[in-house]
Amino acid sequence: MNLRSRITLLFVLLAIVPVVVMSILAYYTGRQAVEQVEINHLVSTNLMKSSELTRWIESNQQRIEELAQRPLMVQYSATMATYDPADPAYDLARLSLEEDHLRPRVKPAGGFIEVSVISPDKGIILASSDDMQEGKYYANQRFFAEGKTHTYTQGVFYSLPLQQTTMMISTPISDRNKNLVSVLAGRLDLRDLSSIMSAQSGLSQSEKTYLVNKSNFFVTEPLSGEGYALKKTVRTEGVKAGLSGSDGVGFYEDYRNIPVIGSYKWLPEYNMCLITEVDQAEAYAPVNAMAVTMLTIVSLLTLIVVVAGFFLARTITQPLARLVAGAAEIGRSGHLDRKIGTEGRDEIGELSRAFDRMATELKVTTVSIDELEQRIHERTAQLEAANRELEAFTYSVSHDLRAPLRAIDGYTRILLDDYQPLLDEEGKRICSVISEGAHKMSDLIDDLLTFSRLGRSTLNPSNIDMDALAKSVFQELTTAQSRKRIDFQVDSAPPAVGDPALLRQVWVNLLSNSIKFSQRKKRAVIKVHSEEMENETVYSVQDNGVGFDMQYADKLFGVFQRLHNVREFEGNGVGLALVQRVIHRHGGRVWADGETGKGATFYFTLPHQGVI
Amino acid sequence: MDDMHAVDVLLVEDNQQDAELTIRSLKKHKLANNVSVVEDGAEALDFIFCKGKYSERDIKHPPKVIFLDLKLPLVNGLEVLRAIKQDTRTKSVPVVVVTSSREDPDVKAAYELGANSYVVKPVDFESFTEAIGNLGLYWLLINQPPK
Repeated sequence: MNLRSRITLLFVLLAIVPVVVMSILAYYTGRQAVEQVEINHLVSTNLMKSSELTRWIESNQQRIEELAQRPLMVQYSATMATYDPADPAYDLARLSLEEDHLRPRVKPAGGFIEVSVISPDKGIILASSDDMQEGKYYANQRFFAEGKTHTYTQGVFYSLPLQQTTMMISTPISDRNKNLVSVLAGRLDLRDLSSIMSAQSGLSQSEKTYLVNKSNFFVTEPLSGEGYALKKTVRTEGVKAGLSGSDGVGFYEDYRNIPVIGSYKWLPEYNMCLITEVDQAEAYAPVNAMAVTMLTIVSLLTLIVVVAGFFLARTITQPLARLVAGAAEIGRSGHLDRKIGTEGRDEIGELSRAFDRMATELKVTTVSIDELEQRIHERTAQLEAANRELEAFTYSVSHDLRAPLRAIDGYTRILLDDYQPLLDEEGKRICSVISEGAHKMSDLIDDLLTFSRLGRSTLNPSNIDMDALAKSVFQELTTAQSRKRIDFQVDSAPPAVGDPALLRQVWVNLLSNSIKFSQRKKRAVIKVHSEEMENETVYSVQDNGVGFDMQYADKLFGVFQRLHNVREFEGNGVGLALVQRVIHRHGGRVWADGETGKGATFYFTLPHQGVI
Repeated sequence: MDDMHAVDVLLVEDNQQDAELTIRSLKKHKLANNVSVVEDGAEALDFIFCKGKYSERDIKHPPKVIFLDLKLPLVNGLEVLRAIKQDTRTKSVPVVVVTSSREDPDVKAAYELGANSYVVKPVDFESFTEAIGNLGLYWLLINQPPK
């Protein structure tokens, strides 16, 4: 994931996560609060409804009782209960009862559907607000039996004779002596109950209160006018819980299979369960509305943060991208003139400017490196030219200096051959001196050429047994005769890596020097010694010859440098210069140690890693 | 004219002293009967290919051996050698490169062009005489040229 995405994501996380968390918390807190409010409301509604129910029943009881205590009611009832129906007083009493007392209690003026006076002995309806009821028996009815002794309310039941659900209130009609005269029974209109129950608090539209009897039948309409009452059963969780005799609140699906919050209350005096329910959808509607609002806010916020984060990230990543592009281009093309050139005042701007400065500095350095390379190139070319010139010069020297020498020697010999009779001894000696000079000059040219060749020819390194090489060179330089005089000692010298021909020349020059400078000793001792150091091997050739004065030690290795008179020791002063040149070309060092009359030791080293 | 046809040795040498010493060496070994000397490369080519003042020579009678110095005026020794070895009429003629120096960078080139020998002239006269004598003996008497 690139920097821009990461920064954007970080912004989103920082901004959105707290909002989302708070939203979720708020939602659940709100939901809980709503639930609590709803539960409180339902419970209180239930309480209110149950007390309304009680009040409704009690008020009807009072009405019935008030009716039963009227003196005329007692009187007429007694008349009717004792007199024969054929008696005119009976009819008068009945008419009076019905017209003056019972009918006014019936709807619409009263609260009852029907009010009847029942004979206490046979349970026959003596008088009723409804003429159709007269003569019917209520002997087996519970409200009749109970009503003989006290005011009794029979809960909701299905009346077979009436073919409908009903509720009865009965009370005794007694004379002054508390003797039962008859039983007064009033039939309640359950629609009134339904309207009381379904009267809504107005707090919610889906709220409904209804009664359910023991047999799971609706007693009142759950919502007004649907025809449920005592015709349909209901077996929801709330009803079950309520009918089991407990009060409480539950979340369940109602008879329509719609999720509701329900409060249930058992009414033991009526053997009914009071249920008040409200649809969860409605209850949670405010919370859900809040959730939708929050979701909208979070979405908008996310959008804003993403856009803002994206652009803010761009202000960071764009200069960085320019920096990367600049660095990549410099890396690819080496164009150090390339500038990032930012106006930014922040850290990234500072970085860009630092990068530009670096490129500028680098350019200066690089330019100087280029210049150096150019100079090296020129120098190399000059050196190569010089080398070629030197080669040509060497060739010329060897070729052109030899020709006159050959002429000198040749013609001297011709002089000696052709003009021998004319030359005396001195003439012949002079001729031989001329010849000798020519020969020496020829040798000198040869040595010089060897010396100069060493500086030019390439090395061909291989492994060399230095021990064997030193011994073989010594054998070549000496005769059986001279070896008798020389004590030659070789420690086992470690092998070396180098050019065999050149290192052979080193041994030749060093050993021939030792032999030469110790030739006057009766017993010459020449020792070849070697010592392995950390990075190199030190080889040495020691003799007990004439030695040299250490103050001239630094002159020993110069070309044509001689510390001894030619008459004493022949030589042209090239040998040690040649040794030094060979060893230097192998990456080693040379030096000498000596004392006049006591011999000399020449050292040279060869690096372990071989020729570079 | 007969002399010109019967050349044993062609000495190509710009140094007159060297030429004289060479001839003297050959004489010493009784080999200098028919020695011709030319002093530069151009003359050498004229002689060998019978042109210019040597146009009367017959190319069918080449020298038995050519002693060739490499450092020559006008046309250098290697050019002369190449011309000899590239021409079918002359390529079987033995060419001995005789030079003053073993440093000569052209030694290798000379051999590659088909030189039959490469000899360094010693400074010492006795050695020189001996070397030239040996060369003469070998190429004139011992060596059998193709018929």
